[in-house]
Formats: sequence, structure tokens, C-alpha cells
Amino acid sequence: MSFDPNYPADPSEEPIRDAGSRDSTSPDSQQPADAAELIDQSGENEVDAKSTVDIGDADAEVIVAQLDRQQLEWLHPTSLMFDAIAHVRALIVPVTIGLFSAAQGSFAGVMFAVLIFVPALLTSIFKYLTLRYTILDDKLVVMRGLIFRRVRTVPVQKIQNIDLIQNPLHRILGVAEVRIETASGTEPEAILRVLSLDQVERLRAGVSSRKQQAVSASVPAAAPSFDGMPTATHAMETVATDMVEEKTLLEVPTSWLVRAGLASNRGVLIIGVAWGAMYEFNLWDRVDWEHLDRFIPENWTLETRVIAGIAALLMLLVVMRVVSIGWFLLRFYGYRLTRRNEALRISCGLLTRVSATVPIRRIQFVSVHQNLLMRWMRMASIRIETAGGAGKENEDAAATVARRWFVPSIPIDQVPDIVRHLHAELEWETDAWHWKPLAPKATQRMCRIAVYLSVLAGAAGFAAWQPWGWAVGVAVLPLFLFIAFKKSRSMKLARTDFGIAYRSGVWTRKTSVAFFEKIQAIRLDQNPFDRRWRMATLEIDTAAAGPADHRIDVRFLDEQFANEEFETIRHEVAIRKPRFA
Amino acid sequence: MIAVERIQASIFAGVLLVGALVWVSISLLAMRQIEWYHLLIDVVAVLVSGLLLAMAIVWPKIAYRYLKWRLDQDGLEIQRGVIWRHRIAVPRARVQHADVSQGPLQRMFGIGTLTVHTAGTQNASVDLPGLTYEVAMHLRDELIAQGKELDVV
Repeated sequence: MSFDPNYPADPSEEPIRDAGSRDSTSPDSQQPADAAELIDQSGENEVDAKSTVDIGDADAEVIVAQLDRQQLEWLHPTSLMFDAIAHVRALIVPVTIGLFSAAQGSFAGVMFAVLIFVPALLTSIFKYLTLRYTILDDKLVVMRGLIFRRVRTVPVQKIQNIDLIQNPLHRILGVAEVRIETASGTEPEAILRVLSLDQVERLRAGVSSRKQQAVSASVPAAAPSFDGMPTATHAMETVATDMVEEKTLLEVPTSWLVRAGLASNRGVLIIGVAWGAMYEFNLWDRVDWEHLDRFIPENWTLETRVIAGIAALLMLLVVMRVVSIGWFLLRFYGYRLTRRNEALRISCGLLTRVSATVPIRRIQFVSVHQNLLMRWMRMASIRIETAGGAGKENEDAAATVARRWFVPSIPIDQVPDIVRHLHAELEWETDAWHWKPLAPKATQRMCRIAVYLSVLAGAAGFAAWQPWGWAVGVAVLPLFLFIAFKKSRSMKLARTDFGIAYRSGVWTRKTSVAFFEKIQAIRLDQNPFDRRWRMATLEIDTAAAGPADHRIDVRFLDEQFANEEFETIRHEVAIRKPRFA
Repeated sequence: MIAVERIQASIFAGVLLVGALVWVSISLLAMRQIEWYHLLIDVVAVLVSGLLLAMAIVWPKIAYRYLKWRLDQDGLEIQRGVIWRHRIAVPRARVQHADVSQGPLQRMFGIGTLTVHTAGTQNASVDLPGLTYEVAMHLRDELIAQGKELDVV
């Protein structure tokens, strides 16, 4: 028997498949027997290995036979355009080059452009003509292809999110790009580009009602038969509608977003953009740096020049703040957080609207961030981490921004109300937690490191700039000492009823909680210096993907305290069984 | 375990030493004019590789003394490291899967390395070398025996 490379290693991820697979070698064998015939179109990153199976022809025929009796849904006709746009956008660099040289009349350029556009258009047309989807029993079925037919089934229970993305064009045409996600990996399980909003609603309703049925049916006592008994069916429906009632937890007004924008340094990116533009268009070489001062009026005195310089700098600062306010408004305008059963739903965006869902039990890690300015304004942002899903790259991508920035801006005193929804036992009473500081001598040790660093800086300065370079070391010493002192005081660890809390940060203060049942491994490290200072590093590992940017990795803890905590956490984690799916 | 590590390290250090000796003799023979620092470099190279060979024989025993593990109700704990010391705990229910691997030398001596995988990110896999093969297999079975239907993330 050949093994399917896509076959999940973990039996718990076993996808629901038709047991009557024709050429199964043995009845209890759950390996796809026809694995050799699996058709997997390369270059499609929608393919994900864990909880779906692209099934071979034999099974496909079974499903297709069933599908004949079902109503199949097509993509929305405008898909053609959006799909082609997406293809071209993926090749934006070659396309630009191609168009550029085509515009200059180069034949190779024209060929190049044709080579890119024509296949993109053809694949889009082909995809539109052949892609169908429906919900069959408890599976979402997506079929595509004509000669090589590929049928993908996603068990409804495994579906975590149905995310929508609507850019302005989508909104004008009343359509949306739909991403169907399961818990596995970073890529969506299936992307349906694009559906009309009616179709989306039908899909959502179909998935959630079948999910409810599946849940109810799995409770033995409540398993009704569906032999056309109207009362039973009716009861089911009311149960379902009861449960899907949505509750609004938070709406972020524009003023909060403006404040977050003011506090954020996101505007710095325009400097990067400006730099890139200068580099790209060779502006750098065209500027006559030697004679810049001819732009300054002759009659300006030194004072006017200094004032003008300061004014220009202030202008730049203002522009940067405006840009970051703009970014926050663009991404999060009309932010709304709702809760439906055990899932949170976020929708936001000024032009491109995103609607994302986060299943509560997938949350690994909660983190509240406050930078210096936000602390003055008594605002904070809340971030969460789930397993898989949002990686750290592409922080600005519309598709994942809502998931990463769970709540972009919120007054600090409202944080506990929101965070309470993230975990059954979580009470965000940070003052009531028993914060334990670092080892008593940690400050001393960190200050000593600061001194060494200053000496290094001084030496480097001296090497670079002969007689007075060492002054650099003297200049940075107070700053380094100050940071070391503040840093050692800012780091604290607390063990609560539900998990491990960690607080750190001199400028940006981050307070995070890792839940006991989500902790995967605990680690204690000691290097030779640690041993001399009787200190240790405690590290807590979860499956979180890292967007909160705050790992629990606490250095300079007292050796004995760290060892005791290690034992206790190990026990606390072990007695909490991971919850059932 | 000690024997295997010792053999592996000795092979590495031995090759290094032979290499150093060959290099020294060639350079001494080929060079027309021998400066004092050439000799110094040669002596240092030979000394370093000799030291490595000595370490290869002594070190595994020390490392072995600092390598400990235990399996109890709560799960697996490993302590290791002579200079950099580590304590790693993996609770039973967090074990995704576990492998036992053997290299050729390890097979000769009947020992194996247990690798425990979790769903974590930083310590997604934890190695425990130097178990006898039977113990490694037994540990593996013990660790993966528990409910695989659990959903750990």
C-alpha cells in the first residue's frame, strides 16, 4: 500500500471519509487506498495537509453521484475578474517590468506580458467554469477541474472560521472573498474567490446549523431521528437559532483609534517608503547635495535657519503621526467585536472590510500592550495568539490584521471586561496577582552588564574616532544604567489560578498570560554566569504562533524560586487535561 | 552511552589530530624559510587537536553524569548539560508523538535516542540520548499511550 504524504500523522485529525471506499484493502484500514491516484495540483497553496483530503477518482465518483441530487453553487460571475487580478498581482514585479518594456515597444516585452496575462486569464476562466461547492451532509465539498477532477472535503466540525474580505470593488459589486480555515497550519483550507453576499450567508448558515446538529447529535440522549418528524426538526431549528444569537462585546469609536494612531510609531514607515522611492527612481544621484543651500534664502540668519530646521523636523513628526492615524483608521474603522457561542467575531476596515472569527478555545495566549504614550492616555491594545493561523510575517495584510490586533485600542479600565471572554477562568485583576520580581541581585547584575556594554561602546568609539571617541562610552553609560535598572524592575512573574502571567517592558509594557492547559513544555536554563549569580532562566512554551511578540522567557530569576516554580508549573500543567475538540 | 559518545568524539578528534600532523609536516617540509610564528602555529594546532582527543575521552563521562531523566505521574523531565544546564519538562498529555532513533554505532551498543515532539514552538522536540534501546522503546510507548484523541491546542 502506498502512503499518502498528505495523510495526517495524528489519528485525531482523521478526516471524515466515506467508509465505503471501493478498493480499500481492509475494512478497518483508513489509509486512502487509492493514494497513488491522488491528484494534487501543484502551485496551489490552498492545499493543506492536516484535516482535509483530496480524494481520488473512485471516491470522487461516489460523491459526484451524491452531488447530482444536490444543488451545487457556482462562484459569483465577477470571480473571473477578481481571480485574474489576484493572479496578476501575485506576479506584480514581472508584470510591471513586462508592461514597462512593452510600452517602450520591445517585442520581448510584449511577449512577456502576453505570457503572463494570457495564462492568468485562461486559468481564471477555467477555474470559474469548473469550480462548484456545496454542503453535503456534514462536509463542505469543493470540486474543481475537468480532466483532473479534484474534490476537496472539509468536515464541517473542523471548520474554525469563515473569514470575509471585501475591498472597495468587492463592496460595490456586493461580493466577498471567503476564506475557510481549520485549525491546521497558516494557510486557509479553501479560498472561494468570490461569492455574492447571499451565497456567503447561505454558506455560513449551512455550516453553523450543521455544526449545531453535529454537536447535538453527538449527545446520545438528545439524538433525534430525522424521519420526517416535523416537531423534532422544528425543535432542532429553534435550538440552533437560540445558540447562534450574536452579542456585541465592543465597538471601538474613531476617537480611540485616533489616540492609538497618535501613540503608534507606525508612521515611520513613510520614511522607509520615501527612501525606497528615492532609491528606485535614482533620485539620490540627481540631487545636488553640495549645493543644497541655494534653496535657503540668502538673507536668513543663523537663528532663522535653526528655527526653520526645527519646524521642518516637527512637520515630519506631524506627518508621521498623521500617517499612523491614517493606518489605524484604514484598518480598524468601524471595529466591532461580537461573540456567538464559543467564537468571537471581529469586523473592521474603512475601505477593505475584514470579518474574522476566533474560536475561544483555540486561544493560547493573551497579551496586553501599552507603550509610553498609550500609558499616558490610559489606553492599551489587546493581542491574542492562537495555534497556527496568523504568522508573524505580513503584519499589515488585510486578511490577518484583525486576528493579530485583537483589539487595537481600548481604555485600560475596560480591558478586564473584554479579556474575561477569552477564557473561562480568566480574571484580569493584574493588581491582585502575586507578582514575583527577579532575583534580588538581578538589578546589580544587569547594571554590571550595562557598564560592560558602555566600555565596549567606548572602545568602539575610540577605534573609530581617535582622540575623543571614548566619550561615546561615557555618554551612553547613564542611559544604559537607567535602562538596566528600569528593565530589572519591570520584569515580573506571577502564577495565577489559570496560568502564568508575565510582565515586562521599559517603554512598551506588555502583560501576558499563558493558560496552563495550553502550555506544551517548561524549560529551565542556567549558563555558567547564572550559576555564579545563583540565577536561572524560566521558559514557557506554547503552540502560539507569535504575533503577540511576548514570549515567556524570564531571565535572572532566583535559582531556588525558579526551580520551585518549575516543579509547580509542571504539576499544574499535568493535572489540566487539554480540552476535547 | 559513554562508550559510543567517546568513540564518536574520538573519531572526530583523531581525524583532526591526524590532519593537523599531516599539515604540520607538509608545511615544515615544503617551506623554504621557516619563521618562528610558523612553528608557533604548528605547535598550537597539534596541541589543540591533542587536547580535543583527550576531551573526547573524558567529556562523555562527565556529560553522562549530568544527564538525568525521570518519568512520573506528571510527565517526562530531562536534566542535562555540564556548562549550560537545562531542565525540560514535557507533561504526558502534551506529547504529540515520540520517536526512537539509532545510529550505526548506537545500534552496535544497543542504545537509542528518544525524541519527544510537542505542539509547542520553541521546544517543539526534546531529545533524550543514551537510553538502552529497550528503555527508550518502553518510554516511547508509555508516553504515547495516553489519549491520542485529545485535542491539545
